Amino acid sequence: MASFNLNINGSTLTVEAPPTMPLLWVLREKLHLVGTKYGCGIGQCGACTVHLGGAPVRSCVLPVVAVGERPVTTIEGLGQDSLNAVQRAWDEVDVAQCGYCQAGQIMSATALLAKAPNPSDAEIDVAMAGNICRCGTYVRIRKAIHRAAELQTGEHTRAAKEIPA
Amino acid sequence: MSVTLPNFTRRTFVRASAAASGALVLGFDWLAGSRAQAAEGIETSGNPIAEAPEGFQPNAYLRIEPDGKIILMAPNPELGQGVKTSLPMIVAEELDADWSQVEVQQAPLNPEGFGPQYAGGSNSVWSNWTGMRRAGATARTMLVAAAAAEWNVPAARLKTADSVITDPASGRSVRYAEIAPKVDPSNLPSEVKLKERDEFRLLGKRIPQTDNARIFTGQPLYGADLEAEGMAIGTIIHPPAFGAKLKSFDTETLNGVSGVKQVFSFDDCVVIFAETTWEAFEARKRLRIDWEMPEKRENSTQQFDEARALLDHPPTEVLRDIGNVDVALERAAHVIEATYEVPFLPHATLEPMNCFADVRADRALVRGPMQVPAGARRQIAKALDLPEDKVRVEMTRIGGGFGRRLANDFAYEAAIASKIAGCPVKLVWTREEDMARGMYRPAGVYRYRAGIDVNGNIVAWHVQVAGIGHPKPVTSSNFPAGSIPNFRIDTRAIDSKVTTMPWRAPNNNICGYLDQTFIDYVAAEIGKNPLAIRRELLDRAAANPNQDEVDYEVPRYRAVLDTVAKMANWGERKEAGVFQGLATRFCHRSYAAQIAEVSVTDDGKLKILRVYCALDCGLVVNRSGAENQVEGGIIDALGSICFGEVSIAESKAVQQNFNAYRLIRMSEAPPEIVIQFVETDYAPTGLGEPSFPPAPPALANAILAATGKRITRLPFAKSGVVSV
Repeated sequence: MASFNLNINGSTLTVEAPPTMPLLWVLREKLHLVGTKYGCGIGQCGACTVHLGGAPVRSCVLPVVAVGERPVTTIEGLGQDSLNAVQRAWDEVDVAQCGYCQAGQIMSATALLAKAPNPSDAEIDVAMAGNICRCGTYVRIRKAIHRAAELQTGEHTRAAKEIPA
Repeated sequence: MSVTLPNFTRRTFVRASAAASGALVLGFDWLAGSRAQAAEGIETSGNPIAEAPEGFQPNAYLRIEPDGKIILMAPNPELGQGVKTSLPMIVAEELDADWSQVEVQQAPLNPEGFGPQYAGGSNSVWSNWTGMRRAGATARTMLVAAAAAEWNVPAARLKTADSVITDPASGRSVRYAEIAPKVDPSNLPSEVKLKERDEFRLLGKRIPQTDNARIFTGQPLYGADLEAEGMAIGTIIHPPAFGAKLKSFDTETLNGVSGVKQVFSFDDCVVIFAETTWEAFEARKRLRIDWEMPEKRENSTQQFDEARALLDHPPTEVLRDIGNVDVALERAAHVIEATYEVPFLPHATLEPMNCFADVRADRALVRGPMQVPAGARRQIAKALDLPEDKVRVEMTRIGGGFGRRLANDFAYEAAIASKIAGCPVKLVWTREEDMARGMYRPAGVYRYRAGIDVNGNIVAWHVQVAGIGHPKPVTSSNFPAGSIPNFRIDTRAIDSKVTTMPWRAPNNNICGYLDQTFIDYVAAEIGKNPLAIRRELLDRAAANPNQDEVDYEVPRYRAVLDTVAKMANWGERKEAGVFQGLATRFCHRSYAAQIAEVSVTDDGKLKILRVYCALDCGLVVNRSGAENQVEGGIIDALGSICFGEVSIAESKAVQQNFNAYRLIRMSEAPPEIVIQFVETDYAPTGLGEPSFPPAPPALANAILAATGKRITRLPFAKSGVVSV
């Protein structure tokens, strides 16, 4: 057991955990942030995807000791005041069926859109390759990513216009 | 359609009470409406709503609050099929509720109050349709009666919309919430008039799922997310091989393993409680357990060989026998044959099995992802020797079912573990336990033979089935049954300890592939167009030479076939290297026809371009949810047929996690799925399953058209066809 100061969703939180405990379980059972899901435990399904320093990682295979000072963002940390563009697009397109994988899908999509504001289908295929949807909502996930890109662009355009000349 | 239904039967109970808060609360016996339709009714003994105290009624299905909010209870388990949205929509439609003011809550198990609360057989909407419509209409009628009394005008001239009652003659209006306290609870309507189809304002629209915001912000919705005071967290270990039994376990092997709190066994299982789920998972890897292995070790090759050999033996059951197949095959001008190998499939729900249980001396609470909560209650009450009414069962949102959670083994185990531990418990299975535990889609070998006469007509059809463990993994009254004068389906099985269960679109999920690819083999052999041969068979089914019973109706079947042919311009595609495959299937009271389009590149690689689907599920309740079910069913089906297989070695599952069991991914899914509902006046029928069965044969038939290859060893990956 060791003590870790983690930067989670903008707050510094201290947890006692075995160093090899994956971040997934620290989030779920030490910090009670249960939006991040367990699906396979071997980094294959993507249900546990979070951002580490802005990049999507599979938290089920990331030991807490390896997190260090890099900021972690979970599904609970997205759009804390209002839903972000990806979450809104997910609602608009009505993506989910069972919904279990969707937190991971949204984290992967959000990371993609931060890097590529208007991603091609090929870029989407690569960025989303690590996330399984057992219900098969892939057509909608793709559509929602394109829609989120539009929503984001609209926000940026509005923000730019609001800057006083 | 005009429906006026009497509101009372012997078992019916409708009750309203003006609660102290001014809320209108209605209790309703769902069975009154659904009993006539439901295949199996549930006997009611006493009505908890009737016995509930005045005012607060937790099982009431509908509550109108003073601020205008309308609370609707979703009675059935939600596992991604959308019933937490579509079922309340039905009540809201007949109530003329303002959907933007509706809040949906998951009801606990209470079949006396809510009727059949299960998720299976694509039955949720179909079995609740009339009951829920009448529930909404009854509330609306009572509100209108109150307004009519208040204004001293005839109720018949009042109109309702968006939770407001208006009197067009006087221009007066009143909100439901305002009039609710004035509803006379004793003034129950003896009859309620349901809406005509053209009066529907909400049904048929695209309504986003009511849990969307909660899902997309990561709220605790699922069984594994639950926490409770004093709860022990753990995991369970089952025998690692089919037929193995627990001998002993050595807790000394857990010395020094972090976080372990308690280890015990029951029913050949070992439970480990720890500080965290992960520590329980780690302890599971370390704990040395001695298992008594089964004497006979099974493996897939031997299973398929044995099953194939058994096909030549007499069947244990003849499921359908029309005309004389043997004679007809002997006299046929031409006989076409194919033998298929079908593997086991795990349900692989993304949320692994898990459950919460809190068992006390005189009562129990079980909370988790159950498809059949009433079955869980029955099983657990019996195991704990408690009366059923002392076992409270609550449903969480379910991270995928596909049939797996029709069994309640995981709930039963949590209850027993709680009883032994003497505290509330949450058991979460590892992915490996979940996948290796069995309960698979049945495997087997299927031999198809068709006899063709000199005129090119199919005169005989013989399906011989050899199940692996499962005695009859086959349907028997589906198309092309009814269209061929000599028709037999018979079955037998080899012994196996591998356990099987219903899997999304049970039996149809594979028989759709077998029937529909075999029709195309026949068409190819005798030089007929796949669309033409299906139309011919349907014409013959309409004439039905044997007057035998089949499950499907020819006109509806023909309509989806003709619609999809038109959607995809069947046979008129001109692009080089693009091939089409056609397939149809009736199941869960719905009709689906699909055309898959594939391209073949110069280096021989196949790519799915798009899938067209025409589907008749009666009335479409929620267009967004309905299309999502169709898309998901097709993608699941294509993934399963391309990659899905659990093979057995040394009586163990070879595939135990997603590194070995391959699920379809984003880049492999068809980029385009074009859906058209063939809308009819029938009540809504199944949607969670019917889009699945035609997709694999549509793809295989497109591959057949492109390459001439028959794929009879499944999955495709095993036949050397990498198609997506």
